[in-house]
Amino acid sequence: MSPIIEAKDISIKFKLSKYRRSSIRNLLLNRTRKQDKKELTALDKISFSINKGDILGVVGKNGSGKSTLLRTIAGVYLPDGGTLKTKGSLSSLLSLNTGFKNELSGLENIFLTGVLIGFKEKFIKSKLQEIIDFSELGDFIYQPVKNYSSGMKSRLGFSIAITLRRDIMMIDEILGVGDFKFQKKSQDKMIELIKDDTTTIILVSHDSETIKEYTNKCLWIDGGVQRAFGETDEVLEMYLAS
Amino acid sequence: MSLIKNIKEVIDRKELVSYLLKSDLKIRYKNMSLGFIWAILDPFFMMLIYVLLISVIFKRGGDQYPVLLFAGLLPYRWFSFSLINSSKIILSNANIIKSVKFPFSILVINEVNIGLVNYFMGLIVLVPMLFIFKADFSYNMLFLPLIIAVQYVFVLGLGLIFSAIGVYFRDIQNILMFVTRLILYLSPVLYDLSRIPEKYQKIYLWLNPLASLFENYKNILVKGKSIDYSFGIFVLYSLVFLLIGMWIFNRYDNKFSKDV
Repeated sequence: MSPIIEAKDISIKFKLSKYRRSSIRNLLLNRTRKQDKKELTALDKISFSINKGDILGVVGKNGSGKSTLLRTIAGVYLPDGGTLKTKGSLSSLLSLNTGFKNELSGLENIFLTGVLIGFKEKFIKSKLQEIIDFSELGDFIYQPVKNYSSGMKSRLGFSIAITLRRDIMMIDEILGVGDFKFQKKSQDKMIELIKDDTTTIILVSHDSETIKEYTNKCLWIDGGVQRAFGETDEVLEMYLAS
Repeated sequence: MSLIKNIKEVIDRKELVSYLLKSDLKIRYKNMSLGFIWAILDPFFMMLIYVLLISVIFKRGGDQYPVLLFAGLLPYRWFSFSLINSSKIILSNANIIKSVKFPFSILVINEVNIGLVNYFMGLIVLVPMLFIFKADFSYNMLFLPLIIAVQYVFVLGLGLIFSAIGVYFRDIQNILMFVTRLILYLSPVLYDLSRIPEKYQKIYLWLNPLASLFENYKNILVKGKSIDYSFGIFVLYSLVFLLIGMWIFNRYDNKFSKDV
């Protein structure tokens, strides 16, 4: 079976110039200070491959490049080096409430977010009840999102992402959404998806317990550099020992 | 060829285009108690100010001045509104651009669409004014959709160019606010093209493509004239700007996510 995602030596670099965002003032000053431009290597030669149905955990400290990796896989960042091959469609839970417009109702935001991440209106309509039910927002769904608590917003975001999903799902530290009951419910839903062989999941966390519980493959990155990739148990052992 | 691919990508996401427009219009007019009436009142008040200044205080402009002015102000407002908003649109949507991949040109298209909707709103006032101020009704009015379509191309082209510049050069919005205001005074909106000395008119129309746009709006809507050769200049500028804009997005839009 050929891998659903195959990453070979992918690198991501950011330009770290103080003058990256120019204004007239900086443009005038910049003439004498060209040497200030630096590059930051956020990801350095990351390689891994996963098959359909795999659950990949990505571990590492904060700021080690985990989210950058997800963004790269999602196609948001173009790799500066290496190759990335993905088969099938991707959906991401990068940040749950990204596209929400505060003035619009939860219902309107479901459609806007759904269409933004690439689903057809018709399909969203067919999944609408499922999303609303899962979010447990009830009549609040007709209220503007600005009246929501942060927990309610996250619940709605999670419900959209978990219902409108693709072949490959990416999750960035989201298992702690909402109150205890909702957490339990989202975990059950996650487990259901994990057991389902057709969904491939990439799960990012700095919590090794989460990774251990849910994933079968694991990638450990540290400061943008790949430390290990392999079976979860082996990689985690090294990660915890470090 | 990748330009064609880009166009196809945008067409594939037409639902997103319409959802963005719908939600922005809803948001814009939801918060105001007079709602969408503001879209009409806004250019109307702007016209009143100039009518007061030119017709009442300076006693210039002639009987049809208010309607000529309004016929020119509406497309000017569309142009300046969409251009200024486009210049910041990539930065102000940074969090979306950093999480979802989609053709970012849609954000610019949306700003142009909002400007277009506002233009149509303005027609609600313009049409009665055409009757009140005895405009010369003729078949030449049928050129309106054509002029609107070409202006759309023009504004979209410039919008794409300046939205990309806005990612790297933040002052651009302030500069554009000044420049668009200057363009208003340099274009035949507040006055007629005939105020420009004849021997300079040709070069003027080539240097300021918007002059032709505003003049042709006035000609077909109020004066009963057909579009003239100068409109060709505007068409040419529009196509060039659109091609440059699309080329920039084709080449650089996958770099925006790192730079916003």
